[in-house]
Amino acid sequence: MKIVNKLLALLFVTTLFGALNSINAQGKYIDKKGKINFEASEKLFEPVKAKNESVTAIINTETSEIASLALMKSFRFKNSLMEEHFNENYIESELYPKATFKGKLLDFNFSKLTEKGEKIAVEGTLELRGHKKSISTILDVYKSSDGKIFMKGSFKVTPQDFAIEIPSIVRNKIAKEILVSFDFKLSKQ
Amino acid sequence: MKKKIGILVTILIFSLIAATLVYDYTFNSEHRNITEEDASISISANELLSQFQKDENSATTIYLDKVIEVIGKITEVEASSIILNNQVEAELLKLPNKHKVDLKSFVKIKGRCVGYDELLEMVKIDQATIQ
Repeated sequence: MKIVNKLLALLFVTTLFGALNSINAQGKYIDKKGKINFEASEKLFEPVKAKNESVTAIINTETSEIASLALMKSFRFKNSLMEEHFNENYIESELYPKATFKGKLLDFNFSKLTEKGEKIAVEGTLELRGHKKSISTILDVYKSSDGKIFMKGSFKVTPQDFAIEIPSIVRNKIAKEILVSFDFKLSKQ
Repeated sequence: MKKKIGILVTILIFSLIAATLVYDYTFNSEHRNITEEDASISISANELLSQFQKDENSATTIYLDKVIEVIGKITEVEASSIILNNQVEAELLKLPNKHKVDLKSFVKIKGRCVGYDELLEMVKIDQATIQ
């Protein structure tokens, strides 16, 4: 009888751990090749834009937390001189090599997410060059038939938000507001 | 008189060409070609990651934007990148060649270090080629 009890206890413990593990595994969705574009172009001048196609994004569907990280050196410009100025004069990527976002999806219920998709609000903090800026925006989110989460959105920032000084000589060639758009495809881990 | 005008015109033409070349060189210069640059440092994936995790600032100063060679075991092959030792992610210039990227085999890659991703806990390399 004792042996049966022990066996039952063991069975209980293993199922419990199994269940806990699967919850953990279910909760995490990752994109290692997320895309972020930013555009600060002014009409009549050379486009000021860049894209980064290796952004990391992680969602925990249990807690609705979202985190994202973009390395500054991974932003590619068409014009190499512009890329150099971006890294050396404006972002100072040697000192501040990355931008991070940490936030939360509001009223997000993963199990109710469909292939048709829905609009979901996100709130969080963007950190860049040692400065923090609150971001809140609306995302387009849907789930594909193979269980991936697709997520798109955008928000605006200004150079002042991160204490980036634009020299007067190029001031009218760079937009006052910079549009940052992102596109993530997250797979279950 | 005619000779002077001739000389003037020639100088003008040459300075125009020179100005155009300088302008083009400054404002439309090509991006770096990482494949053609020599690696400044050769290091194992393990050592590279541990340096970033120990002191990210000093590792950034040493490796950021540098062309480096990294040696490690392929632990994952993705659409456009390979992962060494689960520690270094190298985005390849050319799509992974099946013959060269056997899982678990050791490779040496050359590419540009773009920094440390603490969400993935990996060092990232871009424009990489398998050596």
